[in-house]
Amino acid sequence: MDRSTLITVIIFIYLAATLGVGLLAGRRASRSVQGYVAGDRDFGLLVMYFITGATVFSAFAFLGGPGWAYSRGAAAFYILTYGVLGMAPWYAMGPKAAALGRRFGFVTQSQLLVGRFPSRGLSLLMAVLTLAAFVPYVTIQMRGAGIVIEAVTEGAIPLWAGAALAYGIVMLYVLTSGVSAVGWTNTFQGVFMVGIAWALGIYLPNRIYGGVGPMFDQILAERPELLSLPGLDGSGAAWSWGGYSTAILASAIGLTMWPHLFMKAFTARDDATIRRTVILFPTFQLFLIPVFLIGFAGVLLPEGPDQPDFILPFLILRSELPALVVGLFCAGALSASMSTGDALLHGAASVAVEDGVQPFFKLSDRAQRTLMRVLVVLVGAAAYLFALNEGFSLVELLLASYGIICQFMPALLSAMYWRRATTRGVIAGLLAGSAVSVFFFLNPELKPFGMHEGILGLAVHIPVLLGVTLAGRAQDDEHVDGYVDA
Amino acid sequence: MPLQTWHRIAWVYHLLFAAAVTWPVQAMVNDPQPFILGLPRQMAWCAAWVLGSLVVLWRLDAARIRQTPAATEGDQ
Repeated sequence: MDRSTLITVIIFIYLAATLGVGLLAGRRASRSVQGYVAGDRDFGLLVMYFITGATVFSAFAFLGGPGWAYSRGAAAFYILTYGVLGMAPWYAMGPKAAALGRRFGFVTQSQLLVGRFPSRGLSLLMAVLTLAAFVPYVTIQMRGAGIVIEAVTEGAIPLWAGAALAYGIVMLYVLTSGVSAVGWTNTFQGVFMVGIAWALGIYLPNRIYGGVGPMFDQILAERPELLSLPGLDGSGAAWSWGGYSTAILASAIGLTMWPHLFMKAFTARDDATIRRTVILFPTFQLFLIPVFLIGFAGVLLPEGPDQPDFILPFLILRSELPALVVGLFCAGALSASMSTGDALLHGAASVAVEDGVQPFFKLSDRAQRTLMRVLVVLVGAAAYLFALNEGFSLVELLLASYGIICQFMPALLSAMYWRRATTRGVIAGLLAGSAVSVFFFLNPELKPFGMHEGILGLAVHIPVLLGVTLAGRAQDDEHVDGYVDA
Repeated sequence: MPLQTWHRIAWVYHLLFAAAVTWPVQAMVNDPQPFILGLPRQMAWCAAWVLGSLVVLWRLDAARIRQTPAATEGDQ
C-alpha cells in the first residue's frame, strides 16, 4: 500500500470510529427535547472536561494557532491567555445558570435571558445574533477539516470534498444522537488532539533545530521582531497594543458567553461537575504551547505554505514522518475541527428552534426535534458554502464572531445578578452594542487604537443598558427574586 | 481561611491575570530572554498565569468543600 493510500485509510478508520462513538452515545439519552439538547442533564466530569476543552479548542487553535505563531510571532500568545480568563467566571456563573435551568426547565442561554426579561422580540434577536455568529464559526471548522485532508492527501481529496466528508459524518451523528453524541465524540477527539499536539510540538523543534531552546535562539537572531509583543498584524507590520490587549479581553468575554458553551451548564449532572471542569480547564489550555512550537518551527525554513493556516500540514508532510504518524496527525486535526463543529451545529439548531421558533409557534416535543434536525442540515449547508470561499483567514473569521457574542455579556449578567435591570434596557443595549460592533468590523480603519470591535460595542452597549434601564420602571420583586437569588 | 476570603482571592487573581497579560503590564515583560524552560519569557509568563489559575481555583474549591456542609459530591 503506498503512502497516500495508507494515510487515507487511517483517516477513514478514524472517521468511522468517530461515527461509531457518536451513534452509540445517543442510545443512552431519552427521546425528548431535553435529551436531545441537554443530554438529560446527566454529563459527568470526564465528558464535561472534554466537551469543554475540545469545544473551545477547534480548527482555529490547531491550525490558526500555528499559523499565527508562524506568520505573526508573539501575537499568537493572546490565544494562550484568554481561554482561562473566559472560563474562570464559570466557577460562579455555571452553577447559578444550572440552578436556573433546573428550576425553570431552560435548555438554551436565550431561554434564561427571556425568562428574566420576557419578550419574544428579545428571544428572536438572540436567535438571530447567535446564528450570525455561529455560521462563520462553523465555516472555520469546515475549512480546517478540508485544509487538513487536502494537504495530507496531497490534493487527492480537495478541500470541498474533505470538508463535505468530515461534516457529513458530523451531521449524521448530531442528527441521530444530539448532544450525547457531541459529548462522547468530544471525549474521544479531545484525547486525540491533545496527544498529537504535545507529541508534534516536542518532536518538530527537536528534529529541525535540535530542541525548543535552540529554535528560539535562532529565531531571536534572525527574526527578532517575531519574539517581541504585541507581534505582527496580518500584513506583517507591527500589531498595536490596543489590538492585542482588546483581542484578549473580547475573546475572554466571548468565550464566557458563547451559547454552545453556555448551554453545557444545563447538561452537567451537578454543580461540583461544573466547578471541577472549570478548575481543570487550564490543563487543556496549556496544549496551546506545543501548538505554538509547531508554528515557530516553520519560521526559519527556506520555503513555506501559501497561507499561514497551512503551516502545520506543510511541516508534517516535509518531516518525513511515517505515514501512520501523518495519518494520526490528520485525525488529531480533524478532531479539533469536528469536536467544535458538532457542538456548534447542535447549538445553532437548538437555539433556532427553542428561541427563534418555539416562542411564536408552539410545537410538540417531536416536532421540535424534527425541526432541529432540519436546521442542523441547513446551517451546515450555509457554512459549507462559505467554507469554499478563501476570502478570510481562520482567525479573522473567529474574531468577527466574537464581536457579536461579546454583546451577550451585559444582558446575561443583568439577568442573573442585577435586580434593577429591565427588558427595554437589555434590548436597547444589545441592539446598540451589536450595531457598533458590526460597524467597526466593516470599517476597521476607524477603530480607535486598533481596538477590537467587540470592546468598542461594549463601550456603547453598557451606557445604553444603564441609561434605558434607569429611565424605566423596575420589574416585580417576586419575579426578580427567582433569578437573582437562585 | 474563610470561604469568602478565597472567593476574593480568586477574583483579585484573575483581575491581576487580565492586567498582567495586557498593556501596560505585559509591555514591561516584553524581553524574550532569559528563556524559561526553553520558551521565550513572555510565553512562559502567560503560561505561568494560566497555571496559577488552576492552583487558585483548586484552593477555592477545597475551601468550599471543607466549609460548606452541603458542598459534597453531586451537590445541586
